[in-house]
Amino acid sequence: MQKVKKIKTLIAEDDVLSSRVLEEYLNKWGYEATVTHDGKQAWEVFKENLQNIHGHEARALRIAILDWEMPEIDGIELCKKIRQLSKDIDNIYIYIMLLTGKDRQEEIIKGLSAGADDYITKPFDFMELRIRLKNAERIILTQDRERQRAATDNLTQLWSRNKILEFLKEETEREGRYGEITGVIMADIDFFKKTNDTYGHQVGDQVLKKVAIRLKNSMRRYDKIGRYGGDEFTAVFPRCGNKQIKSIAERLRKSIGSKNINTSAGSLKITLSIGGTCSENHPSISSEELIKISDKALINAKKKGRNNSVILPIKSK
Amino acid sequence: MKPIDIKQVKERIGLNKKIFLKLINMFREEFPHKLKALKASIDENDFNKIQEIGHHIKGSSANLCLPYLQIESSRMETAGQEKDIQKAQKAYQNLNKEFEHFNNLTYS
Repeated sequence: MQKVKKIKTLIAEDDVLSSRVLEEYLNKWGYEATVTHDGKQAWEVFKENLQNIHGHEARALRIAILDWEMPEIDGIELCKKIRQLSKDIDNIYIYIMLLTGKDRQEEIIKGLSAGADDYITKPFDFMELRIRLKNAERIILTQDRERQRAATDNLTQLWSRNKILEFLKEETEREGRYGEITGVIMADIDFFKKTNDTYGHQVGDQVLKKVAIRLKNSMRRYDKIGRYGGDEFTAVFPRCGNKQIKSIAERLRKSIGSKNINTSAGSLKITLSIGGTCSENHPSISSEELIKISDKALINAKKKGRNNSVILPIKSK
Repeated sequence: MKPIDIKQVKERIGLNKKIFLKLINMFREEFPHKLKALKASIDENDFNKIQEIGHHIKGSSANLCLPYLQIESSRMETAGQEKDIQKAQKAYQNLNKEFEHFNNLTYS
């Protein structure tokens, strides 16, 4: 039986008993509640969660229930801060509900203008809270589907160009902070235009799909691959040094070239040219520079006769 | 009205008995500390603190369907907002009284 994932929920409520009641309810209803007792603590928890979810979106906080009046940072201020930070880094959507003793229209408008999705006045009816949380789940699901759609290449089901480049950018920024290294590969199907012209675009699409599957199956669990465009793919390898990147490139190349690809036009011999590089010893290198060097390496691979891999080092300035 | 509105508890809250008793006991243990802090705030004419504590007790007592405590703590909160020390002192006496009634009940 499939395990139902619990939605991670942040509670910020300075009254200990009220927060305890909320926590009991949320846990009973199947949410995974984290309780904080002031706005500053809630903000720290939110920031830390953001840092820890990199590449693991299932760990993200998805709902925040914020008391309006709290010490340090109040609910309104906290709401604005969460929205601003989420906007800055294009993060997963967090649904914010304000708990308020205020029920005057101008105050409710103030709360919603600060970025809250919903509010509930205290003392609240727990059945009402439950229904509002169900609504929150529905909105989160819709947001997630949109996000997934934008992040996925329709044909190959790999990450989209934007998504893979965004991931690379995040990895290189993390590298700057934590001293980790990143490998990048650009792969291109040899003579793909000829395949399309000879067998038609439908066969071309079949080739693309099967190449995508084989490449993905040849990667480590935490490596990511996207369709860069046309018949080109970009892969990002966290914690991958100079020694490893060449063997990874060869593994990917052989995963395509060593066995024909079955299509409706028959069994076709397909090969890849691969270019790559690695950020080892260059912690401040940008993602754009890594792509540029990988692309140059790919051109070299083509010039060498295709169906091979070239890794270029980063030249020190 | 009784110190605890059992009908509302069943209708509005719906927590199981074990959890509800746990929360009631928590409230019972915490409340004297809140009263002590209120007394100190009233003695010092600290209206911000009076309002804040009144607000908290109002929330907790409402969550647990304790109508009398909710009413008196709401009066305390208002006393803090209006900076009315006599109102705060009256609300304090009533809170003490209502808490005693509540405390004398046994829950099973």
